[in-house]
Amino acid sequence: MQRSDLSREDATEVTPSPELDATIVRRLGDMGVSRRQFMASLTRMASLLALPPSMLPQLAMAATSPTKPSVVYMSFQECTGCLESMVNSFAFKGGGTIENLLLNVVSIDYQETLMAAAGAQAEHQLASSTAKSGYVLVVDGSIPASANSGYFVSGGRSGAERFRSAAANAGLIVAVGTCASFGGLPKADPNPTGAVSIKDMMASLGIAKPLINVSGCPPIPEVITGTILLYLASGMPALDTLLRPKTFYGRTVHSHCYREESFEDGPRVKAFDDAASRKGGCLFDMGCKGPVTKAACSSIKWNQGLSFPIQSGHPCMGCTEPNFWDRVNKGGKKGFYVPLAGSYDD
Amino acid sequence: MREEKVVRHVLLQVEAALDQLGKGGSPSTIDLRQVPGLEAKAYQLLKSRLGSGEVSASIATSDGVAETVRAAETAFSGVWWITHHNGAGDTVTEQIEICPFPAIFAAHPEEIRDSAVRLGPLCNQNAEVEAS
Repeated sequence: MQRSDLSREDATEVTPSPELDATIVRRLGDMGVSRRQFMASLTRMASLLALPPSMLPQLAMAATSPTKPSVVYMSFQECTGCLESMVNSFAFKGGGTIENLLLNVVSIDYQETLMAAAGAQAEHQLASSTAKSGYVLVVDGSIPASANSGYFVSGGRSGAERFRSAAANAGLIVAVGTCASFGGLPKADPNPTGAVSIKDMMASLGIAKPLINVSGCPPIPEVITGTILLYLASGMPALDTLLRPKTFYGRTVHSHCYREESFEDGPRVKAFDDAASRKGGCLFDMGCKGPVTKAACSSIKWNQGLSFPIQSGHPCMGCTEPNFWDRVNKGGKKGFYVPLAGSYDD
Repeated sequence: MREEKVVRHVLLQVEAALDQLGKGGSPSTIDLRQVPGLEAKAYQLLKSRLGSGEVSASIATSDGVAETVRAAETAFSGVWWITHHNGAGDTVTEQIEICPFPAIFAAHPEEIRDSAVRLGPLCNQNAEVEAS
């Protein structure tokens, strides 16, 4: 095999080895943190996040920065699964000083579920957190398009009104989860609340701010925190046409799937728990949406890299893609277990 | 075989990185977790092809109970196999580093300067003991 034979899909990234500058080493010394332990911890995190090792100095700079960017996290029509996922991204084993240092890379100044304040105190906290400019506004859940729909009213204000005022001074808006990114379950047929995505809500309210979509139901924990870290370390990441970071959404689940070999050569799974299933056969005929789903599930995986749905024998549901609840598949049918229409000779 | 293709691909990358390093270029790293198709068989094949060398080093946790990083020279000088463990000792990620010696192990110039500052009072303390 010659170098010219290497396809783009096969490309392994060889990156310059990271070196920390004196400023970061001094900051670590002041914090009483071992440089070696810190580097080891960052390396593990960067690897989990599928970031190139050459980005470590920038991540280190962001992680040791004396100023913590403010994050305002607002929830709308959602199930709290995305927040649960994000909180789990900090559940690294050990949980010592260095992990706490990484955890404290941002200051979460408002989050209804996590904060102790409620009622008027919470509303006051939201007002004061959003009075300053330049904070990162993280949003999960979709919002009813109409301010007068009667759906989603909190603190006496509609979702649209709450979002409009929270977005006014934000420097960046991050839509976390498929509900915020594309409408998700609330927008699924028949969409009783008239839910729209954050992008569409911004358009209807005339809000022109940078937006990153971190889709998934929920997104992988490391993808949520990795996106924020990427932004802090090097500014706006490269996005795909659906405004998702290419680092995490650049490839299909199928392209990294360990069952991909039997997609081409067979035998494919024809029924759950059949012989092919037990041998790790391809789940395409069981409705797997991996070939059309851009996500890092088959590379970063879940639960600190332990597994992902296909590895547990279940087809990919395509949850990072728009309208995945209502996707029309083979034979014009909807459903997670209906195979994709057309052929996918990857 | 798929694993043969994956391993040859990685080895070609290592060869290119070694070539660059030998000509005075910078050290480089390959994150094995991010190599497409490096499943169990390909992983074992790659490990056996690179073999083992004379040197190994490790960094222990702050309490010294477990290893957090282990570097082992391969049969090819300048090619290091680095293994990262979490607090429970599980392997989290592995890398191939192409360098004279992995930077994480070497003392940083800032740490060397700090050592000199910290050692000063100790020298003075010894001088006082000798004088008395």
